[in-house]
Amino acid sequence: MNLIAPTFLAALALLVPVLIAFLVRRRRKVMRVPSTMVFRLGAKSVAKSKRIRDIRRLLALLACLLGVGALVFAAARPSGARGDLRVFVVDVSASMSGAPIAEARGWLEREVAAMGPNARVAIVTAGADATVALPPTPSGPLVEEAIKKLTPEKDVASMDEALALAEGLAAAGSQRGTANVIVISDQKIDAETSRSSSSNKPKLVLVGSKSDAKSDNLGVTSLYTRTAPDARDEEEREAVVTVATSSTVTRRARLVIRLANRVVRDRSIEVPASGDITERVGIRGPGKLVAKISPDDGKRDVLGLDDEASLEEITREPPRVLFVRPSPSGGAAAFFVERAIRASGVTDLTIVAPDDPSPPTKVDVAVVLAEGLARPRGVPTLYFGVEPAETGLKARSIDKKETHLRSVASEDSLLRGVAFDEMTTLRAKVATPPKGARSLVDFDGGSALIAGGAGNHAWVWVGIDPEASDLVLRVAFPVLVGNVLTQLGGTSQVVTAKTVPRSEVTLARSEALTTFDPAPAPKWRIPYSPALVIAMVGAFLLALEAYLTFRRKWAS
Amino acid sequence: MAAAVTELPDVSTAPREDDLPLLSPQMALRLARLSIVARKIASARRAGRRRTRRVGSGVETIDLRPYDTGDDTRRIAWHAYARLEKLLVRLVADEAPMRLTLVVDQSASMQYGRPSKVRQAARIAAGFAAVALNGEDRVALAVGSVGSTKTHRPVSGRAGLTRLLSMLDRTAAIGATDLPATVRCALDAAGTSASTRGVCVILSDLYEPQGVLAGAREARRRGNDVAIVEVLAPFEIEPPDLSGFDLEDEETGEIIELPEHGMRERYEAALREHRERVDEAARSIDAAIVRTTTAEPFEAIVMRALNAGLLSNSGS
Repeated sequence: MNLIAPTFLAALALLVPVLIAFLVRRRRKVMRVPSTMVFRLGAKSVAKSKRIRDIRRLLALLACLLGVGALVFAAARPSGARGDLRVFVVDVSASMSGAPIAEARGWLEREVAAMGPNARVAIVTAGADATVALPPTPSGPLVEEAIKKLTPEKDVASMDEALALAEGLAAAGSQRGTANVIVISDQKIDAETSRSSSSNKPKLVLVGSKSDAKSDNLGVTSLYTRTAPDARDEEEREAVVTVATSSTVTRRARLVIRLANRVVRDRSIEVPASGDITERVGIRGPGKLVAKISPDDGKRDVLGLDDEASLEEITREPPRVLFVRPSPSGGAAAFFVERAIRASGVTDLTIVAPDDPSPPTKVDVAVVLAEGLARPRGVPTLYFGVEPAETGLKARSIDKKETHLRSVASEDSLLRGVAFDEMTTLRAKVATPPKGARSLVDFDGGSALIAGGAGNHAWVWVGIDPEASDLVLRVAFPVLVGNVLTQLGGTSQVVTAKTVPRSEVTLARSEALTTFDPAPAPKWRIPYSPALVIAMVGAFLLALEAYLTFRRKWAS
Repeated sequence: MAAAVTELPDVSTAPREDDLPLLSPQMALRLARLSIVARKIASARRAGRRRTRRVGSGVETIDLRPYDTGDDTRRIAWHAYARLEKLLVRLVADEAPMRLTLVVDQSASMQYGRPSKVRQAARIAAGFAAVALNGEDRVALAVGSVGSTKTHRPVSGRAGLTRLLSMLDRTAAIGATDLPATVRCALDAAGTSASTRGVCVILSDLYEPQGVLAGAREARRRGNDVAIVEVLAPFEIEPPDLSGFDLEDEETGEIIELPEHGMRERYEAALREHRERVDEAARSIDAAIVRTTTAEPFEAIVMRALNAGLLSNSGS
């Protein structure tokens, strides 16, 4: 045992005034009487003899001194050297929202209170990531605060990582005492995920098992916005919402979508049993986009965390374009392409040579007329006669014998407003669309306009040589370039909301083959603490002395 | 921490008054006209003035029975024969002296008062003895406390009174109260048993640790009529306000701590309760009780005994 605040021992000097006060306290006169038999009925206290009375007073003095001494000693905060460590792994996945997390908090508070002040507590949360929410800490306000801060996340539980982290903490803490791991979750955890020896396997606390209608849940599993496939400009966006249910019957739900507090969709939807449904709605303009789902059939919705998803829609700007063209001037092709880019409304245009050593990195779309080191990677790109390896294109050159227009995918949004009628092309490249790509314009010799890829790797390849075709002289060319830039720029601007994973919304449970043993419920007991025990003894002694002194007065 | 023990100013013993004779000649003359009242018929082996239940050699006819062979012909009731023409024999009561046993408490608590309670008790006992011996009764005496009990065998006549007075005159308060033991010693010395009963008078302050009227109960258990004379010092009835004092028991050394206020009222209530218990106990054993103090003149006590039925006017 050691003292955390030994300076408090200086207060032992209080014993001197206590002793003096006791000695000078009420020197009462003693009167000898024939018999105390009658007086006894109205007396404060009775001692068998003067000696016993003196002994009792001496004991009272001793009790007072001991009481004061004990309180002073308790103030010096003696503490035990041993500190057992308990690492709690708390599942903070979305399915823990509501009653389970409240139950987990309550269990933790009771358990920590029952462990006593010498034990140390660590908390690891298993959410999207495994995080040490509380490093090994003696019980106290820090622990209470950490417990209060436990909140479910809109994600699945990284239980394996969390367990590994917790077992690492326990192994480090076991040098000072025993250390064990307790998992608090709403589902069984497979014992195989633990790396501990069989004798020190983590214990499991199942929470939320009491809630009825557990399988009935509705939630938003996905919300994102993108440029609408047929968007005429950057402002025309499409919000896509996916709603899923864990119910075994079809659920009717009300879906409300708001943009900047303005309802853009409010309708009742049918969510198939154990399935999902996707809703699309066109939106325009910036603001907070909120999708909220609520039961419309009177049935329960267990989780509240997954009922709402939101994202921030910002004002769409024309894409920032990097134009890679042959140096020095690039010829007529570069001239027409640049004019077409500018005609499509692009204001932020950077023109670089293919061998430019430091091209700008923050671009939304690249237009490549010549291959080189300056061509950015991982950016949607419009290629003119250039076939990088990542597109999978293998082009060949054709002359005017094979440039007769065979078919145009006029329904494709890229070709909206683009007319190829009576187009004359003297020279071009054609290629076979690779897997996942689509041909938009076919010549007799092959596809001359192909779109492929997705997201930041989307691309549009134009095999028509701008210098050997009247396409660049037609209105169709800047329209085509504008459509392509809008589409490619839009694909890089998909905004996705953070939503609860589908497995959490549908409350998917995998039956563990060998689950952890359950942890015993915390028992209520007075937490042992040397300081507390000593203080209680001191207070008891003082209270006893006070009671013995004043009991008659109180009684009367 | 120890505090000096003080005495109440007017409660300590007063040797000067205790030196006065127990019984003055004038008082002896007045007492000669009185007699002890036995609530039940006396019983004794020796002949005396008290009628007993036994058929004996007295003169008072108590019943008649048919004559039987061997009966004393002097007992034949001729007047009855004249009326009834049947031989009947007179049954006459035997007459025996009353046995009076005086028990004086000489425990340490009896030293208080002016004169002391023990002296006052001795004086009253002497008066009772004088009355009894004047009436040809026999009187035994016991003066006692724990470890110090003296008895005097039954005496009769004026010579016996002198011996009893001598013993009473030497009485000094000492030791703890043990009236049951003193009563047992007294009755043993008087030679009484269940079949030879008398009157037992107990003179005490009745601070009996053995229980309320434990001594009187013992006397009653052995078949005696019991009379109790409670002798207290005046301050025990109306004490000064002792609030805030620690009291030490004279006999046991017990210390009690009194509250700071209101002790006088508490004591009055406690004394009232104590006396009610004594009265109830006295009623339960059919005992007469007389209460007096050391300040009360002897004549007043005699009057009180007359009123209580312990004494009766038989001399004149």
